[in-house]
Amino acid sequence: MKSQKLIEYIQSLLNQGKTKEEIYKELLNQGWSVETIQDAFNQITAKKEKEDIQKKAIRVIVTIGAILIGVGIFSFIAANWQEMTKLTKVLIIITAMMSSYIGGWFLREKRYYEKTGEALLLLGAIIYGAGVFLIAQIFHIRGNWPDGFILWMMGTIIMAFAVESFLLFYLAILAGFVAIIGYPFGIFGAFSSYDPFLLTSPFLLLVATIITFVAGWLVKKRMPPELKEFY
Amino acid sequence: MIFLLLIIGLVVYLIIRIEGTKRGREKGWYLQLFFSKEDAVSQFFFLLSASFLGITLLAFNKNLGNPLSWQTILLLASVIGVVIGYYFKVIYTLAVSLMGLVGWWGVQAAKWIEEKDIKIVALFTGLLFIATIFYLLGRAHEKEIKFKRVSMVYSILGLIFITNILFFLSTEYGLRALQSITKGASFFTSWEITFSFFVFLAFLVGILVYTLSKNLIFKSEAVAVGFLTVLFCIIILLPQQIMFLQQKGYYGNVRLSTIGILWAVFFNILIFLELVGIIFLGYLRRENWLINLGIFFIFILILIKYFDWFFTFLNKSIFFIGAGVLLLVCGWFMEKGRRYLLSAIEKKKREKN
Repeated sequence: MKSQKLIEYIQSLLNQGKTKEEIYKELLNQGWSVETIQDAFNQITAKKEKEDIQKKAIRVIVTIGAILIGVGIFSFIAANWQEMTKLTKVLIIITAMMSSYIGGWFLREKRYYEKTGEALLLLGAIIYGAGVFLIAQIFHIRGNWPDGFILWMMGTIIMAFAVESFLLFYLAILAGFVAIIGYPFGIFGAFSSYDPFLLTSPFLLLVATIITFVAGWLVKKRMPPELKEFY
Repeated sequence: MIFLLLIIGLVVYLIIRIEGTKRGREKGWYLQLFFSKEDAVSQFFFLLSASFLGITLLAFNKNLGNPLSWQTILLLASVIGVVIGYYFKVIYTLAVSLMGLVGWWGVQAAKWIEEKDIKIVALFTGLLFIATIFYLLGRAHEKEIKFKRVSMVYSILGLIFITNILFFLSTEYGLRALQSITKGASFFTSWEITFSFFVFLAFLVGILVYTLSKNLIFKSEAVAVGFLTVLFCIIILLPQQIMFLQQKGYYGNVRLSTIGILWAVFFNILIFLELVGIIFLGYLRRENWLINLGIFFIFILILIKYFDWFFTFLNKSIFFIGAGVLLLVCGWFMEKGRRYLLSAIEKKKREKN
């Protein structure tokens, strides 16, 4: 019982932002032994680790769930794609994306289901990416496929800032790297007749450069204050 | 084979590092790949931005009728990447941009060599000079906390570069390469390469003096760097080396010449000493990453040497026994030093109490 009180007291001191050393000093002055304090700290750490594992498990489950739903929706659309009109196709894409975004935001912000909400936001971003390629296909837009990934990356970055989701930042980074790897650089293109920039607008690339730079700078500004000394 | 194993090793190393990522200033904090998720995301965005910049410049260049060569664009993008890397202390952008700069020099040097039929060894030696400069720059950046991670980038790039090239030269393929790349005109026939070497040497000596004067490197380390620099200078001035007596194309009938044996023995001892030196340096500086890196390279070296035909004539068993004895002796010295350190710490504690 006594140790439970001590744990709660340490927890409250930690929440106040006190360091381990300060807490040790304070408790030693109050007459607690080093072993008892150490034991209480160990219990707090064990409890926190357990909570972290549980949170991680939930995050993994709901993220996989979101991806599976995305795959399911698109396999359904692909199966019935030919029979749909252009308007139906566009409406399906927009509705699916909007409902995922709205549902995710609602669950996260209003119902405090952080993990599930984030998973739905991720699903929305995946649908958006797929939508970019599907719309290009529906309207026969000519372009290099990495351009699609650039558009996906840019849209996801904006959404990530809007909803403050790091999961979306990770997705944007992934899309960005796929785009970069996808471009057979001019140096390779020079050795063949294929022109890698035939259909790509340099302005799209310029916008991608600016957006990624600004995103990096803005995210960097959010760095926790205790890490500032390293920069 | 070497590169594949190195890449696998580096990936495993990076995964272990990611697992060990923790916040705050703890021992070895500068080895963390990311300090926080914000750090990770911003680092990747800056890297993406620098890469997109290169592609953007290429695309505009193409649209304008190629007024610039792709090498110039690579140089431009790399320089901007280095500036971003330094300004924001983003190590991934810095590492990639530095590789871009090295790549630019390599491509340019290859062009100059081709124009005047110069010995290709000039290119190799130039890269070795750059690697040594990187290593010294790493040491020079260590003093300030803000540049500690930048210093890691330079140190790791330098060490990996030098070790890889020495590794290569210690193998049969390396010796064959050395035979063919020492053939051709002197590098003095190209003012560009001569100027490059002059700049590299001046830079190298300058940083060596600076790091020594500021006590940023050990004297033994400086001697090793000096020795390597002299060695590179000798290699670049070498006339063509005939390494093999017969070259029938299959292992059984290939025999090393006297010079070939000398170089083979020399490079194999050198790479081994270099790796033991890395471990020893880690031990002196109490840097686990250096010890781990050295052990990892030694493991790869032993693995490759086992399959390398060259040791059939030296007798594999002699090599392994020799290497084993050397490692045991090193280990014994290290343990002895550790005991001495621990007893000194204990003594200090007792004195305090």
